[in-house]
Amino acid sequence: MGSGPKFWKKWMGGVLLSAAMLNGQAVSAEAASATAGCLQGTYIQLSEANRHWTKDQWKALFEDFKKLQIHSVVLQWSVIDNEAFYESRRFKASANPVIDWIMELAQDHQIEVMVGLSHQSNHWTRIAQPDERQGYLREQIERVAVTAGELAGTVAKYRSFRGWYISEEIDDQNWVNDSDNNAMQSYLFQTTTLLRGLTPKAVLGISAFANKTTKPEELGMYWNHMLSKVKGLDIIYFQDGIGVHKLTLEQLPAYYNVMHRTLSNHKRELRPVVELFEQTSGEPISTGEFKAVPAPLERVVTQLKLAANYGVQRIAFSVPEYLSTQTTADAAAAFKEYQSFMDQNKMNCQ
Amino acid sequence: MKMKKNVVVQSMGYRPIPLSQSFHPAQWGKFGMLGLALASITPIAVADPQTLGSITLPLKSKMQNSDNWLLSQLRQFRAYPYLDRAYKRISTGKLVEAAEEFKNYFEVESDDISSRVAYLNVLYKLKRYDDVSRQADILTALDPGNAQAQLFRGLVLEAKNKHGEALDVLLPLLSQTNADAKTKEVAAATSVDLALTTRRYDDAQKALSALPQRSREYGHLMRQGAAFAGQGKWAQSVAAYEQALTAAKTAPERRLVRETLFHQEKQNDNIPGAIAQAMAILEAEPDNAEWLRALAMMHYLAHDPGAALAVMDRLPAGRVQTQDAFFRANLLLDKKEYARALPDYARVAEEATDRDVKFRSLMGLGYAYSGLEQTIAAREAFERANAVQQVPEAGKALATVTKMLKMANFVSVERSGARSSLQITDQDVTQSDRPRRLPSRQGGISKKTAARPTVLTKSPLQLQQESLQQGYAAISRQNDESAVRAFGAAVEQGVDTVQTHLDMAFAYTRLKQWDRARDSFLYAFTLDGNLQNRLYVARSYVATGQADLALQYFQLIQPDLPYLSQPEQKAVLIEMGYLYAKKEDYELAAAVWKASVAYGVDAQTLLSLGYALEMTKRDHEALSVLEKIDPATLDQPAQLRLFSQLSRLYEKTDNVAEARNYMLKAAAVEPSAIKYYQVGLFEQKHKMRDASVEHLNKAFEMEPDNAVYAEQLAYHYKNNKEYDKAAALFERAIEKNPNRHALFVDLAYTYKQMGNNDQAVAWFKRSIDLKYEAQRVAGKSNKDVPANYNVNLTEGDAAPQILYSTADAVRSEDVVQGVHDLSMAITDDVDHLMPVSYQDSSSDIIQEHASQGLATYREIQLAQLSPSEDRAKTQEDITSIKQGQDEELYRMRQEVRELSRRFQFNLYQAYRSKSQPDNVASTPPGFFNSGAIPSQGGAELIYQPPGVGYQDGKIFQVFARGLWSNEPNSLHIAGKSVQGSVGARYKPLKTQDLFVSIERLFKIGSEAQNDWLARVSYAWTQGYDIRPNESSWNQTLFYGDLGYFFPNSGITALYSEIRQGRTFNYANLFTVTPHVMAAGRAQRPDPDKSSYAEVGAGVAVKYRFNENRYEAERSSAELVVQYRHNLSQRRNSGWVATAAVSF
Repeated sequence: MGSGPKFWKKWMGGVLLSAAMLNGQAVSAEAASATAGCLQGTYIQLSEANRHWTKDQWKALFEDFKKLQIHSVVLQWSVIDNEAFYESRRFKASANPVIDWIMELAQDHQIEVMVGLSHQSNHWTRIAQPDERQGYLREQIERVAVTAGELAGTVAKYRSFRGWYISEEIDDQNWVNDSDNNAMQSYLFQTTTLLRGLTPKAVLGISAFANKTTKPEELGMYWNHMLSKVKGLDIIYFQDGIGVHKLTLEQLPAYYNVMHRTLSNHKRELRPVVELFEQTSGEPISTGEFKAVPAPLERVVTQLKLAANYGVQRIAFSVPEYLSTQTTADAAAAFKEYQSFMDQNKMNCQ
Repeated sequence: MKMKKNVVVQSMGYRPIPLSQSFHPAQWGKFGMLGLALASITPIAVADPQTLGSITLPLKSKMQNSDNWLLSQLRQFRAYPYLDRAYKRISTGKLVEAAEEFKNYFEVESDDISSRVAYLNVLYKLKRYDDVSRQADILTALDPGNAQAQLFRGLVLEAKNKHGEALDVLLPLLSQTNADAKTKEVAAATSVDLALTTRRYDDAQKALSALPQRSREYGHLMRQGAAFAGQGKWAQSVAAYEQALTAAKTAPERRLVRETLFHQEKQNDNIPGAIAQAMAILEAEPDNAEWLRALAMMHYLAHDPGAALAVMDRLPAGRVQTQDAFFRANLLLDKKEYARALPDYARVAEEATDRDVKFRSLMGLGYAYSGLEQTIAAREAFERANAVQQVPEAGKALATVTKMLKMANFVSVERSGARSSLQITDQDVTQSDRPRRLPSRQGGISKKTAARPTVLTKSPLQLQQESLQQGYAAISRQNDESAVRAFGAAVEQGVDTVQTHLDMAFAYTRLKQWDRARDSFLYAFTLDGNLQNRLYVARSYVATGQADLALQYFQLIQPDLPYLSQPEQKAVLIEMGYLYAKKEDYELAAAVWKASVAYGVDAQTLLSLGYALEMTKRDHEALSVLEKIDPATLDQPAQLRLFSQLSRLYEKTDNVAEARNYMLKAAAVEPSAIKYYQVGLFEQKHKMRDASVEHLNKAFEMEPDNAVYAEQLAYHYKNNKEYDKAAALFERAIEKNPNRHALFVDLAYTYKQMGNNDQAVAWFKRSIDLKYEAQRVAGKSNKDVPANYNVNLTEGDAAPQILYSTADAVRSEDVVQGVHDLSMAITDDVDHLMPVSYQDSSSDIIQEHASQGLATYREIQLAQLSPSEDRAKTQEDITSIKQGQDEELYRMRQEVRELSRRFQFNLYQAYRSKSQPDNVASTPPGFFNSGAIPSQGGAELIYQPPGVGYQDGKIFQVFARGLWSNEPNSLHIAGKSVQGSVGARYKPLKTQDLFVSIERLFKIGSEAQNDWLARVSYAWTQGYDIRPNESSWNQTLFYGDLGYFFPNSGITALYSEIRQGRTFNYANLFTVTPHVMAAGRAQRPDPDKSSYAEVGAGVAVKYRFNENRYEAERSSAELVVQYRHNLSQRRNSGWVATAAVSF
């Protein structure tokens, strides 16, 4: 009590933070800590273009990461369809050892990497068909086994290797009925058991998101059930859905809150995923191809500060496309703007 | 004392198992006994006011001072009242006031030694020990060596529990000469107790000897006994106690002596003596629980658990404490009264708060259940004990009971005659266990369940145990569905043990619920990732057909592979090989199979290795591996696989003779129709026709009802132009396989080739009917037409029998015995697990063979099933389909049309915009053999006689025709130009439209002629026929007509036309063909200069009609409009329109 105003401010901060967590309301900027606007990590979603990137391009990207004080990377996948980003026996191997380069550069920059596994580009269309879901998972787990089996020896030798990222994104609509839910549980149980067997020290993460049609408490129940059955998952990356308009800034805290509470009860870690983009076309807003542009800085900062209430590590989706000097002019401009913001606020995100 | 007894009771209760190893008398300790004794006699020795009161009080006469007498008297006068009041207060027990009076007194008279001794006494009684010490110091200062001051100093130290220091202060008094007897006695008595307390037994003896006239007293004798005991003089000690027993005057004293003697006897290992003392005590106090426990313990130590149990049973029900229950349970266990022990152990396990007690009770519970052969419950108890305290004993017990349990399963299943697919492994059950355990298993689990004591309440533990027992009872009844339900319930109730998950997995496996079995194995693996569990998981993934996952777990086994026996290691490598092969990674398959050979060469593995090498295109290496196999070491199926592989490899390496040699060896091993059939095919492929027909015939003779052999032989004869034999065999094959469309078609073509047009038409029609029916059934989808050209290798046919079967490889041979043995870890019937999956993989491999190794044979058959000439003829139309008909159907209808044609009537009329100067018409487009004679219009009637009219593409026709020209710029026929003729033409080549003809020209119009005309005409077209359902195509047409008029005119005329266009199809009815063209006519001699050459462009529109179910369009109407530019100066360029109709 003796420290007067300072203590008062700190205490009020705590109260506000607690209130926000309890009521699911957005926390005020004043209540957020000085690092609330920080990004701790980013996804890297490997594309066909990345297959041809030179090592110098990757170095430049990691330099951007360094400037953004990022120390965690989630590699969304290492294999997409039948094309691998590493030397593979089973899949079509990439010309460049992309995964190796990323692991090596991450190691040089003291960045930890969650290595993604296998993804199929028709994932969403297949799981949208109830008859396809279970067969898809059965097929997918074999792909995961191959990918992890091939990669384990490679990535585990790097100090940057933190764990595995299971590339499926668990939504709140496709895995709800008992049969599908059991199939997903079995899939995750098998996957986590295998990955734990291959690399006992690795942490295991997966991504999740919600649609506004699902009530927060329903989402909590779903994940409570899932986590009670699947004990191997350590980290849930929860997408804020702001960029794709799945949730609004007003709705988001309630979802964050229930996920945070559920995960805490199960002693798992929540890592909010902050969407750095604004979708401009594609489902569900239009029928065309998915397109997006970097989101306004003000919105992103609001997302980050909100996320700071629920997760120590906020992961961007994603820096390479929307906040770096290496892809588009818009992304470069956003990068410059965010850098200025960091400088003005003397942000230290380490 | 009570505390010490508690220690005793604890020792009784907490002793480890087995009982004989605990509760050694040394645990009681001589000090415990001494404490007991001292506690009972200490009050006697303490210096108290009564004792001290007898100390001589100071006498007034003894008051002395160095002052003169007068002053001394005055001080005495002044001080005496204080002293007097002090003693009065002492006598009335008012010690505080007495002390105050003494204090006042000493302020006046400080040198009064005697009074100061009294003051010390008062202060001591008031427990003002510090004051005592100060006053003792003052006294010593006044009277150095004062014994009483030293006594009180000693007593104060004793009061402050400084026993050793007190003893050091007091002992010298015993020999101090200036100490009076009373002081010495107090000092000695105090010293005895202090010496015993501080275990200075020699000092105790010394002090005891200083006590006068007390040797026969009870207290003295008790101390004497304690001192002797302390000195280890057991006999003297017991003797002293026995004297004390005699000297004791009260019951408590006697009781105390007996207690002391009890402990003394026990300490001397004189258990009967201890029992006697305890029984003596219990005679007086028969319900004394503590002494009942002590007596029971002594009986136990005397190796009389029955007596001990009897004593414990005397404990009043309300007095049975947790420790008692535990001790009694141990006794019961020792007496093998397991059922009675259960409730006591269960109670202790529930109530015990001490970790060790809980552990011991659970262990006891486990042993009791084991004794009752309730193995499941026993294992559960041991697991719980192991969870409480992880000590080797628990682990060992758990392992033992697990073995017993596994044995129970083994026996129960074995006894029932059923072998489950994922049953317990023999390796887990030692051979030595079997004979010892088997006879004791007769009751079965369910029976024992009924005998379970009912004293246990329905705790969660019990519920778990019940569920587990239900599970195992269900297994014993071979009711795996109930078993998995029960095990599932147990898991839901919190049982999360490796064994439970494994048991559930085995049950699921027997139910063939592979996915669930796999998940249960995985749960077990997550709890304990040991080698065995890794194997279970790997093999369960094999069972679920998830080869990649299985491989990952097999790879997890690799680091620990050396811990497996060599046969097991080999088996794992072989299994991995099959999985790699299933995933088409033959490189790795070859690598692991090669590695497995290091554990011992066996033919089966070499076979597999050879196959993998072949698949990785290392044919020569594969050959060298396979050549190492001694066929005599193989069973017949394996020999066949070997010869088949070798044959294939030699063929690939261009050693046809050796390849054929191995095929013949295979046929010799299995002289079956299929083998000869394969040899025949092989020989056919390599142009060994005679040998081929011999072997094909042999196959057919061996199995005359086999449609495939008949068919194959039919094609052979057909190709060999032995159409009669071919047709007979086709008809025979059709009898066996009446839905095989290709046979109908090829039989029709065979008859056509024979010139038997009626039969050909009949079979074409049947074939067309079959095709229509197939289309109708298939909803006009041609993909399901039953008669396809894929060789239908049905049961008994080539591929499944001759191909390499990994499943067979797994089942047989010594090497695979290792696989079998290892698989017993999860199944006692390897066929239920591995082969199921490997059957799948083998079927994949078979498929692969079918598409690769045997592709050549299939290609032969495909080629032969469709006669080459027919195929070639219709090649250009092969992709056409007309309104749901495939091109084959259309082609057959064309065949029927041509075969059944008798009459044809053609009519054409041309119109040219600008008449030629010589008024001679140009030849219209080259239809109807009209080129040699220039005309503008014509009509022709053709008759094609049966038999000779059409002979396998060769055509003979007779015809009559009229030709004419028109009036200039008109369609009126110029009568003078009408030319008539009759003749015959012949098409001698099947595949080329070459006609030769002879006709008699007769004059009708005045300008016509009578003469003979011999002609040769030839047409070559591409895209001239309609292509149903194709929107457009190129059309090329060439026509040449060479005629010789004789004997009158002697003119030789040549007409030729070439056209190139693009045909557009409208609704399969109209075709429109824009085109460019060139045409010319030359004749020798040519007095009228009628030769010409033209180029131009135009469009042709054609309409086809008059079709039926079996025949393609018989009729057509065509209009051709062209602009022709004459290259010769004598003729005009202009438009030409020609209309033609054909019926």
